[in-house]
Amino acid sequence: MAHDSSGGFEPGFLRILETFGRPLRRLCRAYLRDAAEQEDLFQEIAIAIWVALPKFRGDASERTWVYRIAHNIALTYSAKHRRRLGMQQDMETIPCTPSVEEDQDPRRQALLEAVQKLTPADQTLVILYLEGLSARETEEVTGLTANNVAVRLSRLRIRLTLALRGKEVCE
Amino acid sequence: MNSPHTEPDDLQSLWLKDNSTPSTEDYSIMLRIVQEKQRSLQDFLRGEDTANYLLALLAPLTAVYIWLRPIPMMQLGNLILTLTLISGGVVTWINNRRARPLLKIDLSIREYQSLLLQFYDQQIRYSKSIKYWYAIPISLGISLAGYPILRHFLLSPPWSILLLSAVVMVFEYYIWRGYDVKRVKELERRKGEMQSVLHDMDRTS
Repeated sequence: MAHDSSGGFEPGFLRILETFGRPLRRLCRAYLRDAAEQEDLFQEIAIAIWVALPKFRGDASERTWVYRIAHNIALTYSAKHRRRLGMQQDMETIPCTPSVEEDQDPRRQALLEAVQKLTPADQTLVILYLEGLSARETEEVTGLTANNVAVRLSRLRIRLTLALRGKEVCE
Repeated sequence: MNSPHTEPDDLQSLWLKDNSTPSTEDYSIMLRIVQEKQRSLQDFLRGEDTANYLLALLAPLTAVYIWLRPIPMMQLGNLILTLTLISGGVVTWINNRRARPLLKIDLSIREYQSLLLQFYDQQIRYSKSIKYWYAIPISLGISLAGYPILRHFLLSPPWSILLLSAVVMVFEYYIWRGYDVKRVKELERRKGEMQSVLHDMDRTS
């Protein structure tokens, strides 16, 4: 699909990055706090897309395909990252260290920090929801049932809203 | 869940109001980085495989010695070495083929995590089995093929036995530590992480 007439995948790859570059950057920021790690994760995702691109037949939508790859890589990468930091299970006990490029909007920064404190599986669901994927697309990306997704997302939305309100009250 | 078919809700609007990432980026640099990183990854993986395949290339040499050596003990030792080295190459190849499903990175998260779990289980079984089908036969082959040489040219029986035992023990320790301890421990840790993600995903409340 992304194959051009000259036999290379470069144009397709560049187009995918131009289309999904910003959402993927947001995904990296949501999974990881450190700016260097975020950049590294972004590159890992780009490599995975590059490797998988020749086999992409368009069975799924391009968006679903990109998000599957990105989250599969991000989950593995963030597990490795947490192991390195020795904080496998207990993300919430770690004080929040903002990344180098802290968001200028405090509410957006608060939302980002709330997402970063979730478990990896919850992070995945929340990112897909925040990026505006439909229930069907979320099902296709995660492999979870619609009911499971709906139940968990309603709980997570409340949690994020409360986290934002808490931030506003503190200010 | 809010559907994208409707207007984004407050959280989504806030999330998408993203001023921290540049709206345009030069991805041609990323393309070069990706191509370079992919090449170095392939070189690394090829390097690991090459070591195993190179050892298998010693098999013809040990096979020739089966005919060249007149002593049955040495012939048996070389036969064991030949068969083990060949099987080492074959099993490495089979193991590489087993790793291919991992390239299915575009599966759904649940499917991919399940595939990773299966892969880790296979690799743990493989790592634990190496001492039986590879390390022990190699040690036995080296002992049988090497003992007459040591005894004839260098040392009296107690010393040659001692030297061979030391070599075998170092080799066995190296294999045991590399595979049974370090590799299995690392794989079990990764498996535990994947299990925890899967468990968390299947949670409904």
